[in-house]
Amino acid sequence: MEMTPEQLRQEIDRLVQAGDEAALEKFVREHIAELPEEAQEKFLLATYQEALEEKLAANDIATLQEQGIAALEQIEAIRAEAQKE
Amino acid sequence: MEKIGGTRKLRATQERIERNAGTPHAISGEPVDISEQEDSLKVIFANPKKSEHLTLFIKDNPPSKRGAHPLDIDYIVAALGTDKVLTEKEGDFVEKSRSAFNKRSAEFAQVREVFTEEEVRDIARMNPNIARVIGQIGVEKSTRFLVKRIEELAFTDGKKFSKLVLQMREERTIRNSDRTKRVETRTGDSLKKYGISEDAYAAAALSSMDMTAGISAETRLEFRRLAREQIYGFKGAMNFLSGGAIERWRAFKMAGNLDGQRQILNECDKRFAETGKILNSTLNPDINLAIQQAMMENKDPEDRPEYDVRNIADFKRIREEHNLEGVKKRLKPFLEAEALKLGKVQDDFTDAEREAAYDRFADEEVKLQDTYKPRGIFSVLLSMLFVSKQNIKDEARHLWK
Repeated sequence: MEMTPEQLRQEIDRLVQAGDEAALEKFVREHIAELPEEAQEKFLLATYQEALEEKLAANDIATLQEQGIAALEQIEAIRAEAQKE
Repeated sequence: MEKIGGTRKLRATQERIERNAGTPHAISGEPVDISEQEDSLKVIFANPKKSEHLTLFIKDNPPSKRGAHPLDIDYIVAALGTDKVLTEKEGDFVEKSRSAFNKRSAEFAQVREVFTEEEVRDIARMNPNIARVIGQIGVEKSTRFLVKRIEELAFTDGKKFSKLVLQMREERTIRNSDRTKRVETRTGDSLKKYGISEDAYAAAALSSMDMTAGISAETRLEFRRLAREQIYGFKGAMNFLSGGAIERWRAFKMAGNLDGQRQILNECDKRFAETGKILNSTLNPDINLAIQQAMMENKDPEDRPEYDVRNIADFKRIREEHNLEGVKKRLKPFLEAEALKLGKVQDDFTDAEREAAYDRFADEEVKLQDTYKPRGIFSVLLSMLFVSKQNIKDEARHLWK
């Protein structure tokens, strides 16, 4: 059921007062479309920026993994050359 | 005279064309010619939106405060589009600002161009969080909202805008590649091939967790410590190899130096274990996240997301700073400074001086609101908390009484 702006504000205040961050996050996400437009715009941009950061960080991890695999291969090559002796 | 003026004009035109011809496209990075988007001040001031954007842009890129006679930004902004006479130095500043503003406008137009509903649908595929938000708001509205906010950033916060555009460009280059999944599979295969098992330390930390309650703050901290340690070890391995480990081993072999060879092989074992450890950790989503965060710490501070409103406690602190008492605390010294500037006591301010003071105070307050860097949902809470410039002016007027 849709909530009025006043009901939304009261519930957010209650969750802030209770210090329940998980519930607050869940509530805001579930009611985002009912919030004032400016709040929707800001949340959308913030979520987009977080998504970008997450995706680029995952790409950095892929680079680390590639470098790591190459490192294992190089070390194995040294070991193999040593074993030939 | 006319000839000199004409030559100057021609040279300026040529310089403009050369300057703009090689400008990289904000998103694709390809060189583009933006010379057609070079607006004169007259054109800018004939368009109220462009005129407002230029004013905001100048406020975001004020003149240097250094030097014996720093320029007065308030005077320059007030003079824009009017008959007020500017000094040569002020005129130069406005001209430089106009040129930079045109470049920023072109960059925003390029971003705007790619921001279609199709693009927003692609953005929704980035992760479940953004998918849910776009799903709730709707694609058409989300497109409009994102364009509006990015346009605002372009002219009010160049630093944030440039960072966002760079991230968008990087994201688009990796968007349709399955690189992360492919490399993850290869990592798992390599670890199997070399018989590297899960890091015992991380395994113990994971098994001690109560998964039903989620990861505790202590465990997160422990993962972060583990991630930092592993990155340090990994860097060591990279340095060892890039420092010519194999060449050194061959040189020791040629020289018949057995100790040297043994030393290199021992280091190989150590570096192999360290590399295996971090690769293993990247396959665990929770430690992977900790590694991402630790890698971020090593980046340039400019490239790091820095949130100062991360939790409810941060939000409560800011709420206190912006309630009526908080505003009052800032208004008092502000008005004292204004009285000093005008050389009279506050009660002697004329109505116009009071109005101007309220206006400047409200500007300062809005600036303060813009300094916060909220994480996710806290952007919503701040947006609902902060009042408009007009309301701040009303509050100031009320407090004066």
